[in-house]
Amino acid sequence: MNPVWLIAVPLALAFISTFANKISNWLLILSAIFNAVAGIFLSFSSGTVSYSIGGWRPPFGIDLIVTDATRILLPVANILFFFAVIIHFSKKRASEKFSVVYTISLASLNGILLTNDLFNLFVFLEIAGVAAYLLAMTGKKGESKVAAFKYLLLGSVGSLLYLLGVAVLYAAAGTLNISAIATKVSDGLLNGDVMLVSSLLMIAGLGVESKLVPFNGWVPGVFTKSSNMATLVLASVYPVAMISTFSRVILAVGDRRALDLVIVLGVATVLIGEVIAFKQRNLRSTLAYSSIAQSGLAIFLVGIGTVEALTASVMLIINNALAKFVLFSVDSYTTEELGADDLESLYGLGRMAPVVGLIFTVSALSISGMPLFFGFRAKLLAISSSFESLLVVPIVILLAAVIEITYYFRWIFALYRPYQGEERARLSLPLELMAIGVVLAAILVFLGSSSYETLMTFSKAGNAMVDAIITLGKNLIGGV
Amino acid sequence: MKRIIAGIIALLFFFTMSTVLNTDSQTVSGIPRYGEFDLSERNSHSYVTKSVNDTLKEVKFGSTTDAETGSANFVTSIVVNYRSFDTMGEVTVLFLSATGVGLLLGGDKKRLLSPIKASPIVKTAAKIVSPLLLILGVYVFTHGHLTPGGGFPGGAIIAAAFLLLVMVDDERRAPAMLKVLEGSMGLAYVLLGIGGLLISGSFLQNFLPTGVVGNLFSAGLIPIVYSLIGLKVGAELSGIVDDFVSEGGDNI
Repeated sequence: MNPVWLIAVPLALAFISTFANKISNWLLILSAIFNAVAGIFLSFSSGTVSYSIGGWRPPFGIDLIVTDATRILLPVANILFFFAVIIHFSKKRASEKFSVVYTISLASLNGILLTNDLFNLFVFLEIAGVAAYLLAMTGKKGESKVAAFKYLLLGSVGSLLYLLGVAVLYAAAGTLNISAIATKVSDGLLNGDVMLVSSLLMIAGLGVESKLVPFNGWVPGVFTKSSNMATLVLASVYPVAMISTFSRVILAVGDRRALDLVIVLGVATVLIGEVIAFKQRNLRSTLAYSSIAQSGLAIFLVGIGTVEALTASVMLIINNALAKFVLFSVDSYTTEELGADDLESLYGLGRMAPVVGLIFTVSALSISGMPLFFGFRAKLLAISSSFESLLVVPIVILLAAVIEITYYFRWIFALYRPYQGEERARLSLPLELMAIGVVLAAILVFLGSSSYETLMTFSKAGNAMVDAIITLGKNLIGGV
Repeated sequence: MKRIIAGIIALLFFFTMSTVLNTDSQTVSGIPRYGEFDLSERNSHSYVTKSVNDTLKEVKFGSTTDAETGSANFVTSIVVNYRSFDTMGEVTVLFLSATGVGLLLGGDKKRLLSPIKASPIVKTAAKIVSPLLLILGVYVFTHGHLTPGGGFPGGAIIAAAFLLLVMVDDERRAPAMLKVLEGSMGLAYVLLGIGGLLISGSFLQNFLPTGVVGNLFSAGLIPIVYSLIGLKVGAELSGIVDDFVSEGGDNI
């Protein structure tokens, strides 16, 4: 199946919903279902395939590529988006106003994951960015508009820097195709200074959306002030596309010296994120800062650049997406049911709603990397592969992991601590949240305890992250 | 302090950008010296000579038939054919931005009144000029494959015609049909792409004859796509104008 359907169908449905406002919710659901099914369908085959757009052969035309890494990330992103849509629409008071924005963000995220062209990537980053600014302002209070405005400023400057990086690279390489440029880079045909400057610009540009320190000032505001559904999409689906694209682009066309900078920035992101998350008093901002730390964790591995490191990076991206989805939806649930999400108001939640407590605990344990859960394997691999770099890197990462475990345990204990305040009304138990949460938690446990053969998919993905683009460049395009 | 930091950052930026200039050499390619640009080494060479899939041959205005893309304006052939997918993305960016403006500001029945009353002369002139502008806009986007211009400037001219009417007439609002026009034009673009996928096997691939280079009816899908974009952009920008003068926005 041609993966362009994953972009074309949501886009077409979004255009329909401009003039058919009444059914725009249904069109959103339809596109989410289609993309989830198509994403699963794509993952059945294997290997690297390139699909040209407009009938022009790469590197002249734009092409989409499906690699072994895309085959995992694409279904994960689309299915999580579908789950977010289900949770949103089960509440019966979903407004139709923003459905169009969600539908387009779905199309753009698929485009980001699939495209093999630097400028096309910029276009999709723009679409995803504009959609994200609009989603960020969906919060009830005016604060969300302030956060969205901050995001808008940072995001636009970031995408302009990325564009400038692409322009510099294009001026030297004469092509925009990532595979073609990667081939030229590996053959040493490009000037080192040009590559370094363009990589720096691209790191800064893509770093905004990938939440890299110091470009991530928008994250806490947007994640805490925006509406529940928007946060769910921005915190679990967006990172899958953004971080994996960061790795893809920087690995393919980045300069070796810039990769060292990526390690430094990534490790700094992890440390800063974890330390600030430790200090937070309410659940949502803890999760926001934990998201920053998790992206740093997935990104510093890109700087190391070995197959093992990239495997760990893909695993961390997926672990973060699945676990954060559950954690953020539990947080939305508590703010809706209990009115707050600080430590004290969470007391006793795990006893009143055992299933919610269970899925929260499993996801928190997985994201903090406890044994038996998926996150453990991801982090173990991350730390073992980080010994390739300076010794200080694994030490800092371990330190950050300890901080992370501490604060996640604080939240888990809060959930099971007896509640002694005034009498509470009975909690309603949302069926769809529990069903989705149980499914995702089961996946985390399954991946954490299954045999190593199951994890071969991830090492294939890591391999594809390192090799696929450049191999494609050498086979398909040959000498440009 | 902030200004000093900003100055330092700007200087650093200037320095980094200046290091990459004139870095082209025989062995490694960098950014060439001004005016010493070898186009034949670049992808765009094949765009200009219309030889991406075809072999290289001379293309003559007014006589070459069935050339690749078939558009006399090669900027257009890049924008709407070789890299049409990007253009579809840009159309979506504009669409999403217009939607965002609508979500934030629009939606009110009443509109803001202009503080100054337009004189009858201006009103009459605007009513004469705006249809002319409309015609100019349509001309610009239908001839996008022949002359400089195309869908985006054509659409902007159409929106300017609407803006003129809004400025002189306090009663003027965008017709409700604009939304339908906007959405259906975007849908038609995607459907053309899917048509290409189903007929020729690749998304957005041309499936019409490209005709003689330089004729009005030539270049396959390009004039159709540019007309769609022109109408869409015109409707979108008019919608933005309308949202800006609506009294919504206070109660987001």
